[in-house]
Amino acid sequence: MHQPPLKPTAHHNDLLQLNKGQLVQAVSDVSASSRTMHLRSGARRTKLLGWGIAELSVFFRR
Amino acid sequence: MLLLDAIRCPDNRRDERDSLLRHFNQHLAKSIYAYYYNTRPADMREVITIVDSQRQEFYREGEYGEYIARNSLIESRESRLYVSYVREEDGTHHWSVPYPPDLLWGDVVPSGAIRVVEALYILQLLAYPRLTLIADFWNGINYVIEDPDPTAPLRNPDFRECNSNMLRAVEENGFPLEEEQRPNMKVVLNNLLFPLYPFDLSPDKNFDQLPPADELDV
Repeated sequence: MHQPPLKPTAHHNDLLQLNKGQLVQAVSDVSASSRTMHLRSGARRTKLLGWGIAELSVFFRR
Repeated sequence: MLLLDAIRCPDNRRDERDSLLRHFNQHLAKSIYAYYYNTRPADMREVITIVDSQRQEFYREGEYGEYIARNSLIESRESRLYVSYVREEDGTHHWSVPYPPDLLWGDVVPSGAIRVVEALYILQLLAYPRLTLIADFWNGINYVIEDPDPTAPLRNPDFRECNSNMLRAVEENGFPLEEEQRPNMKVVLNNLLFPLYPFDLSPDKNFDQLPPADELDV
């Protein structure tokens, strides 16, 4: 079935506010949440590696 | 890969990291990464050629260069995502709709970027705290844009050597990599390329290479 592409919801200005340590934490969170998303949806392996850019918004909302 | 390169960017080069992160949502920068990871640059001088060739906002096509075409990476990506209303030369109009996502136009092999991220992910190198070790390791390595003069000595270390030292640093800090992960280690070793933080990934407005307006038949 046709899936709409993920829309990036985190603005680059949000990323610019992060220091290196926070950026590392954000990326590792994205990696972890991508795995969760993958297990939930049973998506193809390559899809989980789309880096769930939308998932970054989860980090910024916390 | 763009985020990983931001992490690989040394702390004393914050301006370049910020410049890279400003491209986070931009089609061209992401497409350059996808294209770049399908190449095999031998040194940083080749990276310059690869990146600059893909930044051109327009290029000329046709037997005599009589056609002006948009950047092919942007065109390809946008035509996968967006609907356009097109006016043809004869004044007719039509809708251009995205082609089906399973129509790959020959892209039957996943991008090299996918392979590298997959290997990094399986090795848990994107997970905290290993990713901190990776950031610390690359913090001591400053990549610079090479002198384009082919006779000038190269100034940057080979990326494979850096990748090897990076994996060793992870192991020496208490995170041994399993023997059965050797294929993924090889992917990281050979395919995690030179970082792109020294480069400008914005479109190169190469208008000066286009013909003057009075030569165009419009």
